[in-house]
Order: sequence, then structure tokens, then C-alpha cells
Amino acid sequence: MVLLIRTFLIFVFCSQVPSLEAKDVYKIILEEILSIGTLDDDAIFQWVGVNVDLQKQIYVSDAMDYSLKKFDPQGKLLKKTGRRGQGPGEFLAPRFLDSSEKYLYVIDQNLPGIQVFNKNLEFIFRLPLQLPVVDIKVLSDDEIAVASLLSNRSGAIYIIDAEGEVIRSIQFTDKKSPFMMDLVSFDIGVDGHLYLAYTFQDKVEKFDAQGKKLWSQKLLKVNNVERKKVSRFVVPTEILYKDVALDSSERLYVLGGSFSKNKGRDVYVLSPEGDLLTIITLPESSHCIYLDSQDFLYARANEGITLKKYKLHFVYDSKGS
Amino acid sequence: MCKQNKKIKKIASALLALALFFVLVPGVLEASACAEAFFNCLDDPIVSMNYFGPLYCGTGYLFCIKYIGD
Amino acid sequence: MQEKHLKRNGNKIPDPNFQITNKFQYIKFAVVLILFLVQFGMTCSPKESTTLFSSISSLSQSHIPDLNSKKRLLLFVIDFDDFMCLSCLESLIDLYNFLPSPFKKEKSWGVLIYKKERREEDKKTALGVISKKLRGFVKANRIQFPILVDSNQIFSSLSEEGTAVILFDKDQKSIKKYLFPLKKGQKKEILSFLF
Repeated sequence: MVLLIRTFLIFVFCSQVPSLEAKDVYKIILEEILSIGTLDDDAIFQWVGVNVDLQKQIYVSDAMDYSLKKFDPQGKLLKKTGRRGQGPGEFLAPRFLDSSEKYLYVIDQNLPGIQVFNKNLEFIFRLPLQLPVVDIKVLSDDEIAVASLLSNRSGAIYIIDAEGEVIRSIQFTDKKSPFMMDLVSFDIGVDGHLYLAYTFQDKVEKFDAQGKKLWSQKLLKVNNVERKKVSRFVVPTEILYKDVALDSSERLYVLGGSFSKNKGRDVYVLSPEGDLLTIITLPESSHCIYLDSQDFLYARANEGITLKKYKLHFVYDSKGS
Repeated sequence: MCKQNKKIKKIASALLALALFFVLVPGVLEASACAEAFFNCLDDPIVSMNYFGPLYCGTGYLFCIKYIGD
Repeated sequence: MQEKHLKRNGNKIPDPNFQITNKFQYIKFAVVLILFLVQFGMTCSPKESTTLFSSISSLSQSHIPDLNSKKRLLLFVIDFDDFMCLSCLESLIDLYNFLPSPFKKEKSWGVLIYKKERREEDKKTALGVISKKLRGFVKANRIQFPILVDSNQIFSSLSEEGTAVILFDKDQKSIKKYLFPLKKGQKKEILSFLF
């Protein structure tokens, strides 16, 4: 009986102590720790995609010289591969990339399929895929998630295998939207949660692994985006959200576009529950953001000539203080 | 009746002016660089032969406005 | 056309049949003209302009190719904004790869132009960015002819329409300008002119 009472009292006491997890991020301060590419060197001319592996090697796709480059953690160029062309290991328009433990996967805007390289930048194979890919996330070497631009079947993230076959899809909307209006940037958390930000709509959303929507946020209070006729298509002209990235705590970072206060520079940070925690403003506008496994943030500078790496310093605000 | 003929002449002239406008003005009204590149991509005969061609042009447009649209 | 009139009870009244015919004739004429103009627009030929020749010849001689010793020359006017546009210079690169050897080297020049208002804040950095991207473009596409950055905005009036190639022909006494991306048939036209 005494033991029971003691246990009960300990339980009551412990529940009164504020939990460390109850602290929210109040502010995030950026500290630049690495800059790759200067005006005088030939390291990077116009980088588009970036990825960092577990060994902290940095991989970059360069659209100007049709190449894939590998840098060490200090920013020294280790290897470069690729040239203009349509053959294996060649590029016409290299764009985003992602990696698994073994491979690098590179999208080319003007070539079908996904080119696969090993970590030594040697071409391995081309994953056959007819769908034009706008965003990619490698879950494993047998499961690659892609967002695609399709005129008649959109609103889904497709999971493809190593043969390029669609094995499943995550439908994030069943509402039929005009052309390009349901394009998204996305990321997938460790437990399979899907986070996405619409490129041309004011919507940031989270879905569980089964495709059930958990929350939806409208950060910019924008109702309509201007659309213009180009040839036989009507296309949106201004971007709301350019890119998303997750940190190790599954906080979501959303890079704003034309409607942000600082266009192309404001990064909205949301908790896993969808609450807006803070806004980071990058020193220069970027087309994308990337967070590595150690929560370093990568962004563009000097119009694509420079890749900047930032350490994030979190300032917490305790609840009730 | 004379007035009716004048009306017809006016309509024909207006149609003519409209045609001249669409012939002489570029196909993309108020085009940005990206929209113009998208238009030109769609105009490419090789692209138009491929079923996915216009979609690749659309992907190009998206990357372009992400990269230069601030 | 004069209106035909009928006489009815001694009074002149317009012939309704004639008026209907007249109406349709106007509409037919307008439609035919519209179709002709549309067809014309689709097959329009490159600009030929003596005023262009005179405006260029009024520039300082050191800024233009030596036309006296060479019979045909190419001048590529490249808009820097097309570098940032990702893939906007595909047509130029494609043409370059098909050029005969002399026109890849000594018979071509290039000028890189950029909007002045973009460069007001930090000229040194801006020119550094421009020069570096040009260096990357030249290296990646193995461009052999010289391309100069128009830092004094001398060719700015030519930049309004974007990247273009200008053909100089001393024998024909003509200058032709083609905008990129080239329209259907223009690449063949340029190459047949050069060979």
C-alpha cells in the first residue's frame, strides 16, 4: 500500500515537471560555415541540385557544364563527370538529384529516365521512366518517390522500382486541377509521412504513410495565382513555394517564392504538427533548399555560382516562461 | 441600305485589323523569358511529335521560373 | 461598286439580291486576306535592313569585325538572361555545332549583353558573375570564337529582342538578323548561306 502511494506520488510529481520536448523553436540563426564556388575558380558554374551522403561528401549537378561534381566536406572538388550529350553519363539539362547508400540518382529535364551513378560518379544504368520528373526522393534502391507533371493524372506521388515501374502511389488530392496547379515539392519522413508544398497553390500539407491527410496549412493567405496563356496551355506565372526539406526532428522547412516578403529567401519552419515556428531569411534568393542528415542547410548564392552551407542555431522558447 | 454596307465594311476592316494584330504581335503576350522558352519549346516540331513532349516543356518552364523567378 | 437598283412602280429601290451578294463579297475578301496574312506570318523571312547596317557602321570601328578583309561574318549577340533561363540557349548551341569550321573560329564573334539595371548595385560582383558564367558556357560547349562582355552597353539597342545571330555579307552588301530560338527552316537557311 505504501509502495503504491509512493509510486502514485512520484508519477504525479514527474508529470508536473515541464518536458524538454514542450519547448518550441523561437528563432533560428544561420551561420555560414562553408562556401563552394567563387567568381574566379571553375568549381561550380550554375548548380541546380545538391545532395550530401552519410560520409558528408557533397554532390552537385551543374547545368552550365552538364556535369555531376563531388566535393569533400571542406569543399574541395574531388571529381567531375559528364558532358553535353544523350549517351550514358551525359546530360542535356541536369537538375535535381538524390542518393541512397550506394547510388546517386540524377534527373535530366530534357532526357527521359533517371541516370544512376555510383558514389565515384561512374555511370551505372538509366532507370527507364517516361514520366517527366519534377522532384525526387530516394527511399531505397528499390523504391524511389517522384513527383511528376502529368496532364491527365496528377495529384499523386509515384513510388517506382529499379525497373522504372510504378509500384504504388500516394494520392494527395483527388480534385482535378488545371494544368500545373497541383505540382508539388515533397519530402518523406523516416516513418513514411509525406510532407508537401504546392508550387502554385497556398497549401502545405502532411499525410501519413497510408495517405490520410493529417493537416493542411495556408501560410501566405494567397487565394489565386495569375495564369497566362502560352500557346495552347494556360500556365501559372508566380510560385508560392519553391521547395521543402525536413530536418532530423521532422521540422519542415518551406522555401517561399514570389509571394513571400523576401522573395525566394524566406524559409518557413513548421513543427511536425504543422505549427509555424519561425521564418529564416536567406542572405540571397535560392531556387531550392537542402538539409543534410546533420541538419546543415544548403542554399544558392551568386546566381548559382556558389553553394553555401549553413549551421542552424536554434533558439528555444520554453512554454510557460 | 447604304448604311448597312458601311457597317459591313467596318466589320470587315475590324476583322482585318484583328488578323494583323495576331500576325504581327508575338504569340506569347507579355512573355517572360521562361514563358517564351516554354512557347518555343512547344513550337519545336520534334517535341510536338512526342506524346510527352509538351510535358517536358512544362517541366522546363517550372525549373526556369524556380531558378530565375524571385 | 455601285448599287444596282430596281424599278418598282417607278421608284428606285435597292436590289436586295445584289446587296446580299455585296455583303458576302466583303466578308469573302476579308477572310481571304486574313488567311493570306496568317500564312505570310508563318513563313516570314529574316529582317533585312540597311538602317541596321548604317547604325552599326556608325559605331567605333574597333568594336566590329574587320569587314574589309573578310567576305562573310557572323556576330552572335547573346543575352545574359538566357544563361539563367536554363536551356534558353539550346538553339544557339545547336546551330554552332553545325557551323562550318571557319565560322566556329575566326569568322565569328560574340557579344554578351546584359540589362544595365541589374548591375547597378555591385558592378564588380555582377561582372564577375557574368564573366564566370560565360567562361563555363564557352568551356562546356567548346565555343572557339571570342565572346566579349559588353560592359559599356554598346550593343544594348540590339539586345531588346534577345539572343540573335547577325550575318554580314560584303558581296551581297547585306546584313541579316536571326533571333534565337531559330524558326523552322532558318537553321538550314543560315547554313546554306555560309557554305
